[in-house]
Amino acid sequence: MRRLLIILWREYLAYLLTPGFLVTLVTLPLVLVASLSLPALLSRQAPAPEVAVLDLTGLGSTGPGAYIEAQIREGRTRNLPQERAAILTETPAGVAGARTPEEAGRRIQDFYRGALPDASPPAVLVLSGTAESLDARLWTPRARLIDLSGELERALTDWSRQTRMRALGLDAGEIDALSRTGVEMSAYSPESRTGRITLTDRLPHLAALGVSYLLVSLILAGAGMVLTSVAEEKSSRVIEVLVTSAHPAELLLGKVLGLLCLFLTALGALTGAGVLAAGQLPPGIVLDVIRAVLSQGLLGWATLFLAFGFLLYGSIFAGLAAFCETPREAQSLATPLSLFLLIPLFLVISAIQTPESPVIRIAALFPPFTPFLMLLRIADGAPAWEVATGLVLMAATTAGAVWIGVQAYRTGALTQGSSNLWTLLRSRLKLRLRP
Amino acid sequence: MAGPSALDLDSVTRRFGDRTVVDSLSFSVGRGSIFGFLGPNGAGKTTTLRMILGLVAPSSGRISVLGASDGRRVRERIGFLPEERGLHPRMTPLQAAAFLGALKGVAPRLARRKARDQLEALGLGGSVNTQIRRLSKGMAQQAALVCALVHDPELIILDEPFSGLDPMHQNGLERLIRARAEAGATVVFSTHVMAHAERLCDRVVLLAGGRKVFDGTVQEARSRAPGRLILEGDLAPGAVASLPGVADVVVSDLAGGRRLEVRLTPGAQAHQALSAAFLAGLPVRRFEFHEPGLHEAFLLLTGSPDNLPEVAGA
Repeated sequence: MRRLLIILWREYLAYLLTPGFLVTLVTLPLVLVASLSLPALLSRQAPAPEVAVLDLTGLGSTGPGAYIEAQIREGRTRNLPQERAAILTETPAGVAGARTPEEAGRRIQDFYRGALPDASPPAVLVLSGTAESLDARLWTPRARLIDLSGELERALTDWSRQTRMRALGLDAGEIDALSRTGVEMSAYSPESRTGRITLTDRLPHLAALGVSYLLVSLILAGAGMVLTSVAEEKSSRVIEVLVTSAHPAELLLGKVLGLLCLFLTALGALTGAGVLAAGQLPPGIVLDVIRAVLSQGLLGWATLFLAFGFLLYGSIFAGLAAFCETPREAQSLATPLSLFLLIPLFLVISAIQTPESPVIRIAALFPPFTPFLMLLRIADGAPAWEVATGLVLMAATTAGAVWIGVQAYRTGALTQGSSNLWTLLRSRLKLRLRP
Repeated sequence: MAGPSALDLDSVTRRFGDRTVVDSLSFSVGRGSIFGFLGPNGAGKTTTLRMILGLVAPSSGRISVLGASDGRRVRERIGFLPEERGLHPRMTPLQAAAFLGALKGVAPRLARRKARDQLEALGLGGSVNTQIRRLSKGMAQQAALVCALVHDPELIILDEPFSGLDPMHQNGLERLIRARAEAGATVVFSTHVMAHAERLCDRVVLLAGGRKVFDGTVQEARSRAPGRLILEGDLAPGAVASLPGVADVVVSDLAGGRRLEVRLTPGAQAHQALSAAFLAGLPVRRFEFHEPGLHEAFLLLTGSPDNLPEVAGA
């Protein structure tokens, strides 16, 4: 135990006192804030999309073209709240004379092909057909994931609905009243303090999701650091001196727990910053998010799962690295395991929508995934037996992983040159196993 | 051999799969002695050292280290220096000494003080706070040795400690080894360089192909190799060849006589051959005796098994 603590302390200080860690500690909150606010900021900074409307319906000022142009001028066409509203622009000269949507399409394509590579030509909305059967085609210079088609479709649907109501003899006031007609749905749950579910009630789930993501990142990063550290000790032959000074289990656990303490220090610093911020911030969504993270034992569970995840993956990575001659060799060997860790990342995404689905419930009980998924199950009110089962299975698997990691570490530490990991491990485990 | 054994190996064998790396090896090392562990590459030296340290289990046989059946049980009484540096490259010698000393039960402050004194004695006082990775190989090797000795071990095991050191650092290391042995520690080291073993060792074991081919003092090892006698004069080769202890004779002409290079049989005494020559009245104008070194003994003893003489104590 004494030697384990000495090794733990050395590993902890070896990383803590580096400029890199201090810089990371300071910049991590900034990175987190930036990652939340950057997409909106970038959208606001992006130039507004330009749209030209080519109305071939012949319906004039009562037609869909005039309606859409009015909507665009009033700034009502934007797909996402943070996106800038579209700007109406003139129809390109070569496109204006087209008589059919097909001809317009050909001319628009020629127009786009003739544009300079770094130019941003406008989107062109081509409208044709009749009021009863409107054909709307939105041409854009590039096939992007998000464009204005959804918003323009909604506006044209409004126009079509209003046109038909006018045909039925309704006046403008009646049409306006009917257009505003709708049903507002409210969600209620006994878990909500007020009965009616608000964003504040949903925040613990969102906080659990965020913390789960953080766990995946921390455990992956920590296991990678263990891997690199062991591989460096192997390549510099430090490992040969260490195994004559301490038991391999003390060396491995000291290393993994030292890094765990480092990450807990970082987590503690972030929590402290959160508590300080919670005392200073005015009421609002940011304060609610911080309170959600700090409340309901979320951090306690997160610490527990972080510790188990670290031990589980750190031990395996350390055992693997002990067989490698260089850090690069160790990283390539650990790549399949790192890819394996992407699975819980995807499961976390689906768990936010259906945390009670059988797949998520079973996956949360699968020990390698428990550190990442059980937190979401707990936030969703998983029964005590489920949480207890998950914890027991995870603890047993972690103990097994540590044991295997220690055997691999001991065998690999003294191996030089290219080696068959499985052969050596099997010989270690079956033939020459020493207490 | 001084005092009771610090180390006893009894019929120790280690196999890796079908390959026998160490074959029925037995020897003892007396407390307070300097013991050389010699052999060509792949002879099984490092595997034997690892078995002594308890890092590798013997397939059969018995090992006793400082009275314990497993080196791991007395790890705090053993100091080990691997062939390469074996220190964290980003640590300074003082930090490394404090860390490794603490693992062996020495208070960090005391470990730092002792390491500083020893490094200054070795002329490395200006590098105590320099990261290991910035030291030369010789300096780093000496720093590693100081770290291995910071807990004053009773048994010091050094794997190829002279490898890559310049003559100045080799001398410093030799002085350190002698000082430790004089202070009562037992030193076991492996080496390829026979000159170090010749100057330092009380006893040596020679390994070849995992088997012991010699166990004894340096002088005994030398006596296993043939000495050479150079005789000059108007000598008849046949008369010289019939002298006692002569194995063969190579003749070359000199102005006014001959030069005969006489190879003696292993263990033969040169003075007996010379006495017989003078008694027989051979006209010897000049003679010169070349005593065999450990190097010659090493080459002979670790060479082809067909050429191996009978080994005392093997």
